[in-house]
Amino acid sequence: MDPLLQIEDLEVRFGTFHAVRGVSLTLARGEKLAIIGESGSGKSVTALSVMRLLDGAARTSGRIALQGAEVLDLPAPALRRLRGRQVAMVFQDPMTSLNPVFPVGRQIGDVLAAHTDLPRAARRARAVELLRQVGIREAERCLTLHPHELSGGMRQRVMIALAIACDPALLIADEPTTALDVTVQEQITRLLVDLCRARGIGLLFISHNLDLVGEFADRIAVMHEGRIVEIGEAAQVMGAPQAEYTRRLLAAIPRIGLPGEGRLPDTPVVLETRAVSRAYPRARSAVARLWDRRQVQALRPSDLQVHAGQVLGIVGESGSGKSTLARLLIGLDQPTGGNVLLQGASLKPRNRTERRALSRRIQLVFQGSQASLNPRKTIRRALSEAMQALPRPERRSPEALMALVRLDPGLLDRYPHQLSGGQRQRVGIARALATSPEILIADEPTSALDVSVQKEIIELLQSLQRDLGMTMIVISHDLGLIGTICDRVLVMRAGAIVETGEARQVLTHPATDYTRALLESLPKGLAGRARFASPA
Amino acid sequence: MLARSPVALLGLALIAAIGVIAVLAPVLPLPSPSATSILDSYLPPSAEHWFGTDALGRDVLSRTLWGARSSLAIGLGIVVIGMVLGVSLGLAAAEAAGTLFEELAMRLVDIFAAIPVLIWAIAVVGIVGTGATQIGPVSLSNEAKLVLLVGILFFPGIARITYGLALAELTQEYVDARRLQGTGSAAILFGDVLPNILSPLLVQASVLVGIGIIIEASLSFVGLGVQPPMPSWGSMLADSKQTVFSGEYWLSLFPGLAIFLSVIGFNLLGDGLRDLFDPRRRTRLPKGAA
Repeated sequence: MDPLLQIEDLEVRFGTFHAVRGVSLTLARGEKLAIIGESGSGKSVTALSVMRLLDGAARTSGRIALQGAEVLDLPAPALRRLRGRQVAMVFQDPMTSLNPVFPVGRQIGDVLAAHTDLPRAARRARAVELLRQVGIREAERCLTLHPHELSGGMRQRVMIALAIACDPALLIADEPTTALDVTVQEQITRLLVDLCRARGIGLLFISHNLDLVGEFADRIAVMHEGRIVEIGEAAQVMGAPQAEYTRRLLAAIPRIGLPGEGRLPDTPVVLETRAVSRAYPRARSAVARLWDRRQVQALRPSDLQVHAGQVLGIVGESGSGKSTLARLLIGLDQPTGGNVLLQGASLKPRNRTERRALSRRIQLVFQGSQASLNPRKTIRRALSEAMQALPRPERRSPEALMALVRLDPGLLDRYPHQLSGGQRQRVGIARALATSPEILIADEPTSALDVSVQKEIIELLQSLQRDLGMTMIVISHDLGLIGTICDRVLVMRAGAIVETGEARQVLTHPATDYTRALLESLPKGLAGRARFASPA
Repeated sequence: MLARSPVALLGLALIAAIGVIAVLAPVLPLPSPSATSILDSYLPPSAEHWFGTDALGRDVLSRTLWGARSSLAIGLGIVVIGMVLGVSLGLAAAEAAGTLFEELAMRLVDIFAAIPVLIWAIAVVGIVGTGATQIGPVSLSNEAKLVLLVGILFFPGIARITYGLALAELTQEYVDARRLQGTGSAAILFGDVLPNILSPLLVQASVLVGIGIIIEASLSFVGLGVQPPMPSWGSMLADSKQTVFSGEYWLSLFPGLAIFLSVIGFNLLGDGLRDLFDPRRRTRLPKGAA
């Protein structure tokens, strides 16, 4: 029997950039194939080629056969019939892939109207049925809602309902859970896998997360620099990888380590909060606030203590208040209640002199995305500016800072866009260390980076913390990162601290259901296959 | 960079040509723009007077070239005033987001945006009169008054654009990093934020210069702008209004053409710059291939 999808010698070029270099793969009916790769590996471009969704700048050659149709040669009308009816796609960000101005019901109705001849009433009934199938309980009500009224997980469910509306033979999911919280990620992956299994849909699942696809994929293809470096049964690729690159990827995944035995030393508390809370007014404008006094409680009164020389991890999903807490801890924002105390004294800087003094004691490392450095300033300038709070004799040379984070000083005269993600994040760390702070707060320090780079940055932060004897606070949604480097852990949910304790204790014997759920929903690679073995 | 946009290049060439003429007008071998000669009135274009002469026998070519000086100076001056006020207010309002100052500043912008420019200019010049005005020790020429009065009305549009762009830019992580270094608001706004939002502002500015030139011409046309004997395209058009249908086409054609070319020059430059700066027009790589 013919395979559902057959790709032979696919090549894609954008100008001089060779994105996909001779990719060949097949996908059988009902099979679940995962393509794994880091950014720039060509995995998304390969997926988009199957739908012929690449823009005009792309030069494509090779052969893509889908149920016997030559996709690359199809005329436009046939291509439109192919999209939706035979292949459907689920994207990473359901906020931008749903149209924000139309209610959900209309968007599903439009797809049905385009591909079927169902009458209006039947389309509505079918939309309700589809929403039920993707696990939306109040399907009738959901039809009337706009995308912004739905949570991220709900939006992704709607996207999946749209994708399966016309019973496609192949579903392409491009990083469908990357923008979602870990507990939601598990639900959505499960939904996709169950749907495809029940309907015999072939699934092409694009991801950077090996542990995630290891739980359910039949086969895994690993892409690197436009080529498939390894393809095979999931158990084989994950368990006994042949390619050097696959081995590196597997080794780089941050997994919760086994924290060492023995009690943590009792060091003095350097930073603490006393019933600190932050509420934001609902109304944005000062005038509207005169009559609209409603508030959103981003952080409920919370107490925490950070011990000198230790690493505290703050874990939480989006909206848990962890970033609000970080901004309060560093004085970028002021609490609406309670206090932040730095060695017993209130943190609030009253003027610029105090702000500068504070900048020498506590600093922040950002996500390391493009936005963390001013695109118009060279690295040298960014690092020099970071030292302006210091008196001249104490300033170090930018070269010395680069050496500290193990970067080539030759990069000093480059602009941020000329650096890789990992290099940018090292510069971000160097900038934070410019004033030799006692306390370093890292807010999602690896979330914008590829897996192999994440490992380097984690190791760098660890060794710097040890060598400089810094106190560190790491904020992340990634339990793997937290479990790797933290001494103590604090779990947040919906603006409140739900659990706190030594990392070893919290991560192995969680006291609350929420922490347990977080730990359980963490993708576990081959070890997690059991939960996908049968439909829920 | 401009080489990638032929439109911007054409606009720039037009403006540069007019600019060079304006600067060089005093040294070009031309008769004085205000030298009258009754015997030579209404001469059609010829080898001696390329653009002909007007009712007082003044050389139209010379007057048109000299007119470029006042048109460009006033057009640019208006935009400089508008940019200084608009950018400052827009940045300050964005930095003060959520406060009463933001609200007051942006409502002030709304009020000024509601005033029709020409009617305002005619009314105010009508009240304070043409010619130099003495304000304490400072003497303002009529042209300086025009630049100030009209420039004030140009700031709302610029303030709104600046405000919107700055609001978005202020949420970037590098801005927080600067705050954590103890850098003051003004240094962050002008040193970090402004350079990153300058491109769209320059596009707006170049289009506004074109509008400024038209306003100058309109005011001079009704006699409230540049005062004789200084030549201006607007006042030349006003002088030619009796002769439009009597055959002396050169009196209105050349100043009209000058206005047309300079306005279209600034608009082309603006369009071209916008295309160059618009990230959507750059060749993109799809997600995942970047």
